[in-house]
Amino acid sequence: MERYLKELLARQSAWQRSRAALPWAEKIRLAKVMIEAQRALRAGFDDRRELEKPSR
Amino acid sequence: MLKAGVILDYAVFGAIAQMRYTEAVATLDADILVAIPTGGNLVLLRPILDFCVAHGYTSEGEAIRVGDWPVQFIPAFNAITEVAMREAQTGEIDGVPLRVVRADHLALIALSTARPKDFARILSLLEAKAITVEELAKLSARHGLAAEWQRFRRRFLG
Repeated sequence: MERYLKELLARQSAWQRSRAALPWAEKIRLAKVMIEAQRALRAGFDDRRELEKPSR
Repeated sequence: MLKAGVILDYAVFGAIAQMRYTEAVATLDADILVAIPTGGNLVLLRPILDFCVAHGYTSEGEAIRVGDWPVQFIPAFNAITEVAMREAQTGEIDGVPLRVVRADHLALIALSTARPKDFARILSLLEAKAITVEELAKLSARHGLAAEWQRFRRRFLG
Protein backbone atom coordinates (compact mmCIF):
# COMPACT_ATOMS: atom_id res chain seq x y z
CA MET A 1 0.00 0.00 0.00
CA GLU A 2 2.76 2.40 1.01
CA ARG A 3 4.64 1.63 -2.19
CA TYR A 4 1.51 2.19 -4.23
CA LEU A 5 0.91 5.57 -2.55
CA LYS A 6 4.51 6.64 -3.08
CA GLU A 7 4.27 5.76 -6.76
CA LEU A 8 0.96 7.57 -7.04
CA LEU A 9 2.40 10.70 -5.44
CA ALA A 10 5.48 10.49 -7.67
CA ARG A 11 3.26 10.27 -10.76
CA GLN A 12 1.17 13.17 -9.51
CA SER A 13 4.28 15.23 -8.86
CA ALA A 14 5.61 14.47 -12.36
CA TRP A 15 2.26 15.43 -13.85
CA GLN A 16 2.25 18.71 -11.90
CA ARG A 17 5.78 19.47 -13.11
CA SER A 18 4.68 18.79 -16.68
CA ARG A 19 1.78 21.24 -16.22
CA ALA A 20 4.19 23.87 -14.92
CA ALA A 21 6.34 23.34 -18.02
CA LEU A 22 3.50 24.19 -20.42
CA PRO A 23 3.91 27.39 -22.44
CA TRP A 24 2.94 30.53 -20.53
CA ALA A 25 0.11 31.32 -22.97
CA GLU A 26 -1.35 27.84 -22.51
CA LYS A 27 -1.35 28.23 -18.72
CA ILE A 28 -3.13 31.56 -19.03
CA ARG A 29 -5.77 29.85 -21.16
CA LEU A 30 -6.07 27.14 -18.50
CA ALA A 31 -6.58 29.82 -15.83
CA LYS A 32 -9.49 31.14 -17.85
CA VAL A 33 -10.99 27.64 -18.07
CA MET A 34 -10.59 27.33 -14.28
CA ILE A 35 -12.51 30.54 -13.70
CA GLU A 36 -15.31 29.37 -15.97
CA ALA A 37 -15.41 26.00 -14.17
CA GLN A 38 -15.52 27.74 -10.79
CA ARG A 39 -18.41 29.92 -11.93
CA ALA A 40 -20.29 26.92 -13.30
CA LEU A 41 -19.76 25.00 -10.05
CA ARG A 42 -20.91 27.94 -7.96
CA ALA A 43 -23.96 28.44 -10.17
CA GLY A 44 -24.78 24.72 -9.91
CA PHE A 45 -24.36 24.80 -6.15
CA ASP A 46 -26.64 27.83 -5.83
CA ASP A 47 -29.27 26.18 -8.09
CA ARG A 48 -29.14 23.04 -5.97
CA ARG A 49 -29.55 24.96 -2.71
CA GLU A 50 -32.53 26.69 -4.28
CA LEU A 51 -34.06 23.31 -5.17
CA GLU A 52 -33.39 21.93 -1.71
CA LYS A 53 -35.20 24.74 0.08
CA PRO A 54 -38.23 23.33 1.89
CA SER A 55 -41.42 24.13 0.03
CA ARG A 56 -44.12 25.98 1.91
CA MET B 1 0.97 53.45 -24.33
CA LEU B 2 4.75 53.50 -24.02
CA LYS B 3 5.11 55.12 -27.43
CA ALA B 4 2.41 57.66 -26.62
CA GLY B 5 4.15 58.53 -23.35
CA VAL B 6 1.11 57.60 -21.27
CA ILE B 7 3.34 55.27 -19.25
CA LEU B 8 7.10 55.22 -18.87
CA ASP B 9 7.48 51.54 -18.11
CA TYR B 10 5.37 48.49 -17.28
CA ALA B 11 5.61 44.86 -16.25
CA VAL B 12 3.05 42.12 -15.78
CA PHE B 13 2.97 40.84 -12.20
CA GLY B 14 0.58 38.93 -9.91
CA ALA B 15 -0.90 35.58 -10.87
CA ILE B 16 -0.41 36.01 -14.62
CA ALA B 17 3.32 36.56 -14.08
CA GLN B 18 3.46 33.69 -11.59
CA MET B 19 2.10 31.31 -14.24
CA ARG B 20 5.24 31.83 -16.26
CA TYR B 21 6.97 29.67 -13.66
CA THR B 22 4.30 27.53 -11.99
CA GLU B 23 1.21 25.55 -12.84
CA ALA B 24 -1.82 27.51 -13.96
CA VAL B 25 -3.64 29.21 -11.08
CA ALA B 26 -7.12 30.67 -10.93
CA THR B 27 -7.17 34.45 -11.12
CA LEU B 28 -9.86 36.97 -11.86
CA ASP B 29 -7.72 39.66 -13.43
CA ALA B 30 -4.36 40.59 -14.86
CA ASP B 31 -2.20 43.03 -12.92
CA ILE B 32 0.23 45.38 -14.62
CA LEU B 33 2.73 47.50 -12.73
CA VAL B 34 3.16 50.85 -14.43
CA ALA B 35 5.40 53.89 -14.10
CA ILE B 36 3.43 57.05 -14.75
CA PRO B 37 5.16 60.24 -15.93
CA THR B 38 4.02 62.41 -13.04
CA GLY B 39 4.07 59.96 -10.15
CA GLY B 40 2.17 57.09 -8.61
CA ASN B 41 -1.06 58.78 -7.58
CA LEU B 42 -4.14 56.62 -8.31
CA VAL B 43 -5.97 59.59 -9.85
CA LEU B 44 -3.16 59.75 -12.38
CA LEU B 45 -4.30 56.41 -13.79
CA ARG B 46 -6.94 58.41 -15.62
CA PRO B 47 -4.73 58.99 -18.72
CA ILE B 48 -4.22 55.22 -19.00
CA LEU B 49 -7.94 54.53 -18.79
CA ASP B 50 -8.69 57.34 -21.26
CA PHE B 51 -6.04 56.02 -23.66
CA CYS B 52 -7.47 52.50 -23.53
CA VAL B 53 -11.06 53.67 -24.02
CA ALA B 54 -9.94 55.84 -26.95
CA HIS B 55 -8.42 52.72 -28.48
CA GLY B 56 -11.65 50.74 -28.25
CA TYR B 57 -11.26 48.97 -24.91
CA THR B 58 -14.00 49.12 -22.32
CA SER B 59 -13.44 50.10 -18.72
CA GLU B 60 -14.82 48.07 -15.81
CA GLY B 61 -14.44 50.29 -12.79
CA GLU B 62 -10.70 50.66 -12.27
CA ALA B 63 -9.94 47.91 -14.79
CA ILE B 64 -9.85 47.72 -18.56
CA ARG B 65 -11.17 44.65 -20.32
CA VAL B 66 -8.65 43.19 -22.71
CA GLY B 67 -10.06 40.08 -24.36
CA ASP B 68 -11.26 37.82 -21.58
CA TRP B 69 -9.41 39.60 -18.81
CA PRO B 70 -10.03 42.67 -16.71
CA VAL B 71 -6.62 44.34 -16.56
CA GLN B 72 -5.67 46.38 -13.50
CA PHE B 73 -2.97 49.00 -13.87
CA ILE B 74 -1.15 49.55 -10.60
CA PRO B 75 1.46 52.28 -10.20
CA ALA B 76 4.72 50.93 -8.76
CA PHE B 77 4.02 51.60 -5.10
CA ASN B 78 7.35 51.13 -3.34
CA ALA B 79 11.05 50.52 -3.91
CA ILE B 80 10.52 46.78 -4.41
CA THR B 81 7.92 47.19 -7.14
CA GLU B 82 10.07 49.86 -8.80
CA VAL B 83 13.04 47.47 -8.92
CA ALA B 84 10.78 44.62 -10.07
CA MET B 85 9.51 46.71 -12.97
CA ARG B 86 12.93 48.08 -13.89
CA GLU B 87 14.52 44.62 -13.89
CA ALA B 88 11.59 42.81 -15.53
CA GLN B 89 12.29 40.26 -18.24
CA THR B 90 10.73 40.00 -21.65
CA GLY B 91 8.33 37.11 -22.01
CA GLU B 92 6.09 36.17 -24.90
CA ILE B 93 2.43 35.27 -25.18
CA ASP B 94 1.35 33.96 -28.58
CA GLY B 95 4.25 35.73 -30.25
CA VAL B 96 3.63 39.03 -28.50
CA PRO B 97 6.57 40.15 -26.35
CA LEU B 98 5.77 41.73 -23.02
CA ARG B 99 7.65 42.65 -19.90
CA VAL B 100 7.10 40.43 -16.91
CA VAL B 101 8.33 40.58 -13.32
CA ARG B 102 11.02 38.00 -12.45
CA ALA B 103 10.23 35.10 -10.12
CA ASP B 104 12.43 36.39 -7.30
CA HIS B 105 10.78 39.80 -7.39
CA LEU B 106 7.32 38.21 -7.53
CA ALA B 107 8.16 36.31 -4.36
CA LEU B 108 9.55 39.43 -2.73
CA ILE B 109 6.45 41.48 -3.54
CA ALA B 110 4.33 38.61 -2.17
CA LEU B 111 6.40 38.56 1.01
CA SER B 112 5.83 42.28 1.47
CA THR B 113 2.07 42.14 0.86
CA ALA B 114 1.71 39.00 3.01
CA ARG B 115 -1.86 37.90 2.32
CA PRO B 116 -2.66 34.16 2.35
CA LYS B 117 -2.67 34.07 -1.47
CA ASP B 118 0.75 35.77 -1.46
CA PHE B 119 2.16 33.06 0.80
CA ALA B 120 0.71 30.45 -1.56
CA ARG B 121 2.48 32.23 -4.42
CA ILE B 122 5.84 32.08 -2.68
CA LEU B 123 5.36 28.38 -1.94
CA SER B 124 4.41 27.71 -5.57
CA LEU B 125 7.48 29.52 -6.85
CA LEU B 126 9.68 27.55 -4.46
CA GLU B 127 7.98 24.30 -5.43
CA ALA B 128 8.52 25.07 -9.11
CA LYS B 129 12.20 25.79 -8.33
CA ALA B 130 11.79 29.21 -9.94
CA ILE B 131 13.57 30.56 -6.85
CA THR B 132 15.46 29.00 -3.98
CA VAL B 133 15.11 29.53 -0.25
CA GLU B 134 18.66 30.92 -0.16
CA GLU B 135 17.99 33.44 -2.94
CA LEU B 136 14.83 34.66 -1.28
CA ALA B 137 16.55 34.94 2.10
CA LYS B 138 19.29 37.12 0.59
CA LEU B 139 16.90 39.23 -1.43
CA SER B 140 14.56 39.83 1.49
CA ALA B 141 17.47 40.90 3.68
CA ARG B 142 18.63 43.32 0.98
CA HIS B 143 15.16 44.88 0.82
CA GLY B 144 14.52 45.15 4.55
CA LEU B 145 12.19 42.16 4.73
CA ALA B 146 14.37 39.85 6.80
CA ALA B 147 11.87 39.67 9.68
CA GLU B 148 9.00 38.90 7.29
CA TRP B 149 11.10 36.20 5.66
CA GLN B 150 11.94 34.62 9.03
CA ARG B 151 8.26 34.58 9.96
CA PHE B 152 7.35 33.01 6.63
CA ARG B 153 10.11 30.40 6.91
CA ARG B 154 9.14 29.40 10.44
CA ARG B 155 5.47 29.19 9.53
CA PHE B 156 5.64 27.39 6.20
CA LEU B 157 9.03 25.79 5.75
CA GLY B 158 9.56 24.36 9.24
